[in-house]
Amino acid sequence: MHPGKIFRTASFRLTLLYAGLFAASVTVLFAIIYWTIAATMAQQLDTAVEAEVAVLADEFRRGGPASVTAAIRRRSTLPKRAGTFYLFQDQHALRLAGDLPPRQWRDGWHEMATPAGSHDAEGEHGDEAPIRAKVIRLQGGYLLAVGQSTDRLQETREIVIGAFGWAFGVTLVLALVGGAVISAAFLRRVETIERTSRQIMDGELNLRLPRRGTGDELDRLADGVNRMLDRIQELMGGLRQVGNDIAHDLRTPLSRLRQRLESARSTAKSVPDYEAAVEEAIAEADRMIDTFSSLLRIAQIESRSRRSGFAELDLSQVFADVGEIYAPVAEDRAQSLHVAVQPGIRILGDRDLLTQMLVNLVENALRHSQTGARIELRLERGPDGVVGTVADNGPGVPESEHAKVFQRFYRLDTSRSTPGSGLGLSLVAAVADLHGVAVELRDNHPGLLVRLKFP
Amino acid sequence: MKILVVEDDQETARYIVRGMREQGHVVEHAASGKEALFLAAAGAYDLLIVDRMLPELDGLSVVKTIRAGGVQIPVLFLTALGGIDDRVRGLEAGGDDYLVKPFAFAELVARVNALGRRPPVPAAQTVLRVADLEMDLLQRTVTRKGRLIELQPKEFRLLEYLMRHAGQVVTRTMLLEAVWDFHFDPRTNVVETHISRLRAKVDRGFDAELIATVRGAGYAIRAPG
Repeated sequence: MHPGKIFRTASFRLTLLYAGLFAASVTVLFAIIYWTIAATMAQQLDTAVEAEVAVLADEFRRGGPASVTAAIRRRSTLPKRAGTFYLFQDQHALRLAGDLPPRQWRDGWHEMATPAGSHDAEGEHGDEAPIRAKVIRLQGGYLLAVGQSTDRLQETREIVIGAFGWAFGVTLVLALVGGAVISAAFLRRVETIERTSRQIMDGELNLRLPRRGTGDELDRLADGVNRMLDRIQELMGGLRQVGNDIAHDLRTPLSRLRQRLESARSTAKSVPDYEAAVEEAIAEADRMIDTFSSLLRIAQIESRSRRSGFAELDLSQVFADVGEIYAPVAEDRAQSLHVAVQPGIRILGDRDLLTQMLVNLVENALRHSQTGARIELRLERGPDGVVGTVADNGPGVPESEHAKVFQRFYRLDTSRSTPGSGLGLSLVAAVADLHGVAVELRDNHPGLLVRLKFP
Repeated sequence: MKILVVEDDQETARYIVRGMREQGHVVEHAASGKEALFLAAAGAYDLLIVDRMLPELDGLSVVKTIRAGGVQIPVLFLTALGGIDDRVRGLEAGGDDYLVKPFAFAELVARVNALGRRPPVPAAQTVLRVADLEMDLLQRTVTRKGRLIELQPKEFRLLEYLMRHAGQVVTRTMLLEAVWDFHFDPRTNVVETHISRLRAKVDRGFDAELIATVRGAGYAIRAPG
């Protein structure tokens, strides 16, 4: 894998984005810490200075200038006072005590340079931090100043900034390295998928995308694509099967047609003979046209374009109508059709197609059952939803053939003598599928029971 | 009747034109949508037979254009597009009937005759009569020679359709579509069964049979003689 590729991956870009976000939050966090520490320390420093000023001013009120001078001198000798500086001067700006430069300071806060050679001039700091001092005027023109070195403050600031620099750097390095590693792993899987799909495109249709088994996004994607490939393969298989079936199934009627015409040419002697031959030929051609129409219709239904034509309809009415239309047909065939339809059942669907589905089932029952057979057509709303049944007490369909009868052109050996295209149940299956109806074949002891479970 | 056949396939066009002339109609032919529009605007036709798929301007557009101009000539669509959606689109565009190729010529003739005589019954007419058979559309009753004939609702519809096309041949497919709303070919003799039941009620016991079977084409109800 080319290393440059990593930087182009989506996951690496995402990592980079996260690294940026993280760095920004680290910066904000440190800024808050920095300002809080700095402000607190400055506050503490000011408070200490003000307290010292107050103590010395009190000293002045009680003991006068001499007492202040003494107090300052005393303090300067204490080691714990390191970093604290004083100035006590008289009205002529003459320093009486302390180490800050005497001048006609105004009242208030001042920044002053650290006096040269002061006791704690820390060698490592080339440039000393300034002193923050408070100046007040006392009675009689005396001036008092107390200052505190901001050294510690400066130092703390530098420590915080230093720590921030390290944390920032480490965060960035970790994010980039981590991102690169994760991206490389991700990229490897994507490349495997890409390679596999290329192989599938090249014709190895049985290959499937590998999955890692963790059920992550890539696995889910692979699952989806694999299911799609299964479906495509199934459809392609079906298409090939249909192509073969059509070729095979139409050869029989075509050769029959040819034989009839041929024998008419050689044996027909009179006009009625020819007329009969032509009549038969037309009938044969009509049957083929029928087969083609049925195939087209099934294909159209399977393409699902007709879902757009769905509307709410009275399913009970459809069942009742078919029952009413076919009861006389059954009677003429010396069979009986019994209809039991619960009224008022409405569903969303295509009336024409549902009618044809039901007609196909009823006609199947009529045509494949013997004289005297009893056919039942029912529709009811039961505990598990709307269920329609078409049952007969004819020869039935062996259990092993139940799945096959829905295939195009499939015909039971026992029904080969009955005219038919072998497409009736395929159409039923297509219409049922379009409507989400579950079709189930059951043994009616004797006979066949077709159960339609509506959604 | 003066008929305009709009069909781009020369062989089919010749077949239809010749057949229709044999039926005694005056037939003209247009091979494209534009030609059809031109001819339809110029000549007064009684019926248009229009193929759906035409070069330049397709059949649907031709009929829509003609209808937009306020022309009410009956239109029969003739097409290889046999889906139900195609049928609905054709009828919505202003077609009066729809016949899917390949078709039997008898079917085309029957439909042309049915369309050409439209409207056979003025809307205000409430009684249909064929010889001594009488149908009262308001009372929903049928009598023959003054004797009441009891019919089921679907039988009534079947007889009504036949009587509205009295004297014409109606095919099995026309009946399936109009009476039972079946837009497919059933594999049992549904039509024959219902016709024979209707016959049993309408014709049995009377001196003349009104419902006739026309061999190779369909059925017709007509006054005897």
